[in-house]
Amino acid sequence: MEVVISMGVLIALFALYTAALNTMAASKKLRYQNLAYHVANKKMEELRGTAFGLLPSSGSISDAMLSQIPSGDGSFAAADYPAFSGLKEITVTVTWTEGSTPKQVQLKTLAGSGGINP
Amino acid sequence: MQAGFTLVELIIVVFLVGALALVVGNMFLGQDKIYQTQRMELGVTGDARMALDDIDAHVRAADVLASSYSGYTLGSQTLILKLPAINASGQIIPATFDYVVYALSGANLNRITTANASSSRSSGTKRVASRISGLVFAYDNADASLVKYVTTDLTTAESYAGIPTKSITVSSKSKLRNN
Repeated sequence: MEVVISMGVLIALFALYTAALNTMAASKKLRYQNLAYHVANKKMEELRGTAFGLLPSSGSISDAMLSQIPSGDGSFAAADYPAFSGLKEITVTVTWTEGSTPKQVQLKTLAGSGGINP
Repeated sequence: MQAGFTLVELIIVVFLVGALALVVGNMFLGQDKIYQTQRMELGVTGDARMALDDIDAHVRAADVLASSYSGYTLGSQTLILKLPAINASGQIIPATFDYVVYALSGANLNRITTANASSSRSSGTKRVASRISGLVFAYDNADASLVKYVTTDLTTAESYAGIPTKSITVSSKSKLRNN
């Protein structure tokens, strides 16, 4: 009986330990997502402040925050919005890897030639 | 025959109890390390995000920066915003302003709000984040009244004995309203 109880306690402790290890991975994911979101958000803010006629059609993102993300990389594109003239869809994408799994954060918005930055 | 333990039984029991204590003790210490690491990780990332989001939200709502206000001077570690006052419905009250100052106090970043009497904002000091180890505000114009963009670089960090320091650096670039 005592052996069974002891084994039960040990198994429970081991389970708690592995569960705690899993939360480490979860908080790492949170850190990378947080950084990726801020990189994308910063670029989006910059593009939103660019005059419509001067919006570059695409490009890569250079940001010091990317160095804190494994294989962190970012790009953006401003393409004509289908079926509407004077509208462009801005897409900002930040990618990274977690282990071997590719991850990404993508932000989109529309910019108009008569908008806040005509 | 007398009941009791033989020396061999006693040695085995002591050995088993010792081994068990070692395993449980190690697990306990490991668990504590994990807990502290997690607490620090969530603390630094949470603080950084909270602070940056708070600053961005107020910059976007501000009309203009002030070069000084109530003993504070605009600079690389102090941000002074002049925001249109708002009523209870969130509508702007014409020609009425609130002031929001972001300033460091040690490792704490405080938001000091001075609201106009007719504004629905509350005056007071709120701690936006602690654990700040680096903060730089940069402006796109040396003249406070002509600033359109505020760039914020913020680093939060925390140390704990026996665990590598946890830190994160985030930055944002926000545009003042109507610019």
